[in-house]
Amino acid sequence: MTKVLVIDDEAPIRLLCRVNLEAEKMQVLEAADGESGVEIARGEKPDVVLLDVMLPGMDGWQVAERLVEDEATNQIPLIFLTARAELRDRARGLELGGIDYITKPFNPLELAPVIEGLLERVRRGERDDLRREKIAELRDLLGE
Amino acid sequence: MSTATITRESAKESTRESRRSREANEGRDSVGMYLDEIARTPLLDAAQRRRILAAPTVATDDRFGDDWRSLVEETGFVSLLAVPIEAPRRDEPGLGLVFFAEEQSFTDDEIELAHNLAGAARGALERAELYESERKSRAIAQQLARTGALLASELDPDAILGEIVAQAPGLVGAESAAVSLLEGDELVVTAAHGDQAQAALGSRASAVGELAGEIVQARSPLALDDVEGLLAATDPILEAGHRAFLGAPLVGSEGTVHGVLAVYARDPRAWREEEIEAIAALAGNASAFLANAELYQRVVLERERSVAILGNVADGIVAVDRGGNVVLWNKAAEEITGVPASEAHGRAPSDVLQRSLDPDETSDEGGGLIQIPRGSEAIWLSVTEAVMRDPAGAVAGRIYAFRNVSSDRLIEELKSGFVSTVSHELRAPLTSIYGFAETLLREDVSFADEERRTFLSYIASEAQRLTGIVDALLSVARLEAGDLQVHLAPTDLRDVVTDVVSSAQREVVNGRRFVIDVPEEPLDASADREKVHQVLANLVDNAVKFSPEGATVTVAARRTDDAVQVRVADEGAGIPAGEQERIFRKFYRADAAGPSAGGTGLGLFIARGLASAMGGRLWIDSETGRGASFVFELPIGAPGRQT
Repeated sequence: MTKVLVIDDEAPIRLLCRVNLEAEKMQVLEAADGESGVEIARGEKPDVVLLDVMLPGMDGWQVAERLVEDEATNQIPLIFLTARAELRDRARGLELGGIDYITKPFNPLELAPVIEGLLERVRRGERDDLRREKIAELRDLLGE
Repeated sequence: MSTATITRESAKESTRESRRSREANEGRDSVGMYLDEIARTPLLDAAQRRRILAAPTVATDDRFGDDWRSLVEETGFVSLLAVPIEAPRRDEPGLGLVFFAEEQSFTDDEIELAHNLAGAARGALERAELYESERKSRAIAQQLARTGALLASELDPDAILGEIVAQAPGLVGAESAAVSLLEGDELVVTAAHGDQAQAALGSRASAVGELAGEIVQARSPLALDDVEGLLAATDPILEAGHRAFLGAPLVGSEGTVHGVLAVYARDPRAWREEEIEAIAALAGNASAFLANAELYQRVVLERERSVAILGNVADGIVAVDRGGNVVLWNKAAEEITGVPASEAHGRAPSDVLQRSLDPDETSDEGGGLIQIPRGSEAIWLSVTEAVMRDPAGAVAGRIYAFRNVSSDRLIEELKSGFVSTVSHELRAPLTSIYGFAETLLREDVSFADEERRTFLSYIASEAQRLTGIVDALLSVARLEAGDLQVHLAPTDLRDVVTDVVSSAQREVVNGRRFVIDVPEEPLDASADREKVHQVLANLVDNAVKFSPEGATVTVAARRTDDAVQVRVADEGAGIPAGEQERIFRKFYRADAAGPSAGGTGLGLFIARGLASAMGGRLWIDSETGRGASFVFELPIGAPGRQT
């Protein structure tokens, strides 16, 4: 069973993720701020982390850095799930180790299939390819 | 024993000559007088005909009058020999007279000898006169040069005129002088020296009248040896008893006449050519010096004006010379950079400001923007540059004008931050609305009724949140456009306070305590109830947001002499003094809330805007660490008064 950690300060968003991912037989863990998110990631070793950026206290960027720096968590794939829609934020997310960057609002029904697809490729050892593709996509968008 | 004298005659000048002689010769031996007066007929005849006159015994010579004959006898002379002598530089004839104490019968040899003597005398006269003329010219030239040197360093027009009139009489042996300047069609005596000088000052004469007027019209000097009987009394200095007049025009560099320099002599006299030239030259110099002084005055005035302008413009103005060193650093430059002019002068701006003022050097910042350190902070300057060139076209220096655009840049940054903030703020509620709607539409999952209600209530509350954000943006737009409508009516603020606090209590879940402190009697303010609600809700919302869990938020309302005040106090960290005005700015978001905290940064901006739209005020009363206290004041509303 895929274990998903959702780090988001807004209760409705966490609930939205929970009901829709649980409907796809995934296990959902929740954290309302960065600090507890990092703790849970360390202790529970989720298969994937859905990470918001605009968090009170430690923000999503700092959470990502912490998870990537820590050997206990640096293998966990990170997916940003945020209302920050600007391309430079997207680039920053991917540079910090994210394998994808989903902007709000999103269709909650598509969340599980996207996670499954990404995790499948990670399992096949294509994690780096995945990030390279995403960065290339972004480059196209930025017109570089 | 014998003696000799020379006389000359000029029919043209006879009157003047005779008068001068009469006055000047008093007390002199009478021969001179008689030469002049009595011996005219035979001697004049000899002179005019260039013939020798020989009189072996004057006493019995009937060619002479009785007076002359007796005079010669009285003085002990017997014979007279008169020899014509050509006066140097003149066409008028002269005579050499030789008197003899003993009777002479003049032989041809003696007459021949007299001729030779006359020739020698003429040569001597010529040399003497040349010498005299040369000496005078030199003296005049030297005097002119001295005056010139003196005036060249003088830059006050009045002082120049004073010096000119003081020097002019001495130059030509006259007693008085005056300078009249053209004002419209009149000549006004502007400087005078000598007799009646003070009385003459300021007197006016027509620029087309006599004397000075004639000089202006003819644009050339005028010399009058004796004005007696010639002129109507138009010149106060002449009236004061002068007889000879010499004047010359003050001609400017463009050939325009702007006045007259005149010298006056008490006695009639002939003006020598070099004297006329000297006065003309002095007048010419005077024009040049006056023009120079006026130019200087204009430059001084211009400079003072420039300094005044530069001192008062809001832009920093800095000028550097061709060596790149600061020669001008105005007041605004001092204020903007924080560097006093005294410290900047003579140094390169890059030394003074730790970077050059040339925007080109920073490739990454276009639009003439540069950043300079000021104290501990960095400020942004928008710089424009102009090159000063000398008349030959070479770079003589540069002028930089700059203004501090740090606050403009801050607003730009705030604006772009605002766009992403608004985007984020709108996306958050939309995510819930869209997400829960899609979730509810799922056919593969059946949710319990309670879950469905939760989803729907989130859709409803997030839709409300969305409305709130859009309303706030509209309020800002209206406040900025100045078309926010308020409907003022007497409003009991106690009711509004109670409403706002009870809805806050319903929403807040993390244990804040609310204290309401209002008087027993009604507290009517002239206000728009809905807007008051909006302001207080914002203040209470902030109080909750910035105070710890379990803290107390106090809302107190009271009446002052002429107003009603509502105070919203929290137990949060308070707001540092430096931030207390900034929090009311548009897009301001408190650091304490963290960069990721929600909010558009518009709440207090709108609240203050609404307060003033109702004729009230909103301010903060806070000390760091002791909580923040916002005071919302409104005018008293007289019951029944409708505005």
